[in-house]
Amino acid sequence: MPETMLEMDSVVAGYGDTHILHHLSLKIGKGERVAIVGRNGVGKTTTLATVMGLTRQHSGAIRLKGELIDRLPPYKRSRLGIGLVPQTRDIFPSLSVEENLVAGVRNGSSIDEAYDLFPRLKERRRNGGRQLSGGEQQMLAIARTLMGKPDIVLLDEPLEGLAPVICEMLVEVFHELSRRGHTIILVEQHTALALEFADRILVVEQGAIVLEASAGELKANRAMLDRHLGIAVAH
Amino acid sequence: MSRESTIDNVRTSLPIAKTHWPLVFLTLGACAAFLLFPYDLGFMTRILIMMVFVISFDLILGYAGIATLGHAAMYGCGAYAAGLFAVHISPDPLLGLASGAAMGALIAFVSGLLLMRAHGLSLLMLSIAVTMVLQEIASKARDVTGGADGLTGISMGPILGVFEFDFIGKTAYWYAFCALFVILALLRILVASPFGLALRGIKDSSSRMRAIGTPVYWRKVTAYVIAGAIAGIAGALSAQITSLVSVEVFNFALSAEVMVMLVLGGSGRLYGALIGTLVFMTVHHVAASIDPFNWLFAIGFMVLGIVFFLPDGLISLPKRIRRMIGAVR
Repeated sequence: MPETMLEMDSVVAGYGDTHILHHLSLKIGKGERVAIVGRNGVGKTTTLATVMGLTRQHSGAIRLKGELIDRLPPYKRSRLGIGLVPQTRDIFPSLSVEENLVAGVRNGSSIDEAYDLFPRLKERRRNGGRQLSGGEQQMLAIARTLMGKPDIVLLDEPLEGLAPVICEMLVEVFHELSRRGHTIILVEQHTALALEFADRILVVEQGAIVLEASAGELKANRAMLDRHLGIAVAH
Repeated sequence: MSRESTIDNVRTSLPIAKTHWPLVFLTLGACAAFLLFPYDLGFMTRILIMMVFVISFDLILGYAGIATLGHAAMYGCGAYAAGLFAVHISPDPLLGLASGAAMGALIAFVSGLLLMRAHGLSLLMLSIAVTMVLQEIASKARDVTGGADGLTGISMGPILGVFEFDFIGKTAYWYAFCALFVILALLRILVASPFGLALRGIKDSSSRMRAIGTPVYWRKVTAYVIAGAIAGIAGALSAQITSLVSVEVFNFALSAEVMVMLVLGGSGRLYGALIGTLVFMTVHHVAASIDPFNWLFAIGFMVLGIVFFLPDGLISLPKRIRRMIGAVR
């Protein structure tokens, strides 16, 4: 495995006193493309939120590039190079597209890079956050996260509810981000898509990783995934 | 593109930063009021001072979404600071304003460290409590503040060593106007800056702002301190112009009125604060002169009507009329 970018070691975390993650451990290498799959409510989103510092961590350790980040607030984790694209997108409705991007600018990043990646956003730069379609909102959410120049991008079900043509475009963007050296963790319900995109698949069940395999292995042995997900993977 | 040029682009995209006409209108309005109502300069000066106070509240409520009922704390401290400064240190008005701003900022910083950790009802209650504590201190420290009798003996020197305060109130009027103009011009720049965007982002979704690398708590404390400094300037203007500071400056009613004025005019746009203050104080003045016992009815019905029919405040009236005309066509 390449140099470790992110490591979670026996993490117990949740919301308030509720425990969602139960001694979850994982290791992600620099530049890797990893997909986290699992049924609804098993803790996929909570895993990403915990890395970002948005949940209550009861025990365990989280390291970014070898440095412990457990005690750091979300904004410091963001500044250290973690970028989360939330499932809810959370566009600022009172700001225009361009203002949303500027709100995320860090470390001398340029919004032109975001416009190169998503030309559609440039066309709609004066529009308010409320006036965007679902696909455009997702583009903006991704672009705004990239304004923070993250080393590792956490994508929480980014294709949910989007038209197929937008999904294709976004998957191409994820590949481009990977080519640019970003480490990517993708939480995705569409297992086939996860297998297509990721190098490695992590299956989560009841707040812990129960299966870890390369995408190639799982493509060759889909029955293994079916056993854990309880569904037939779309071919 | 550099960060600066990006920010410049955004500034030009913001409606508020597009034009200087609002500042021109404000100046023309002040000149017109000066010429048309030469015997009401005292009242109009009070309006200008309240405008300074209300725009400071707009920064925290309208932009950052911080709802408090204790904004009079900073106003009152600014008033006492400027009054005491004039009595014991120097009669220079501008230095007095600076002392008011510094005291407003200091109180906002100290109380803000606690208040900005609270939300909703807790924040409202805590902000009221801070103001009550300060009012009690002002009331008890008779030797320093004059207690219930108020701080008297404030005598101001000429502004910039040239403009003496006159009996009619011309100097005071233009002094208050200049303070409002400068503060408004600076706030326009501030709210169009990345800091201003961050405040609006925090109002929309503080958790998201946190996740994209914004230290939300410190941004809120900073906004609260800036607003506190401006409220302190408003208090200082009041102390210098009326030559009196009473414990009433910490009244809960003052904090509540500031919120009503802002909601009337429309929050989050700076100019809404000016319009709301002008309308509230004018209606208050006229209604109280017609019926000194029942004037609150007029204020109450006006607030009811405007909040019901124009929830975004009076500043949204032209847009509403345009829409109605469009619908009729």
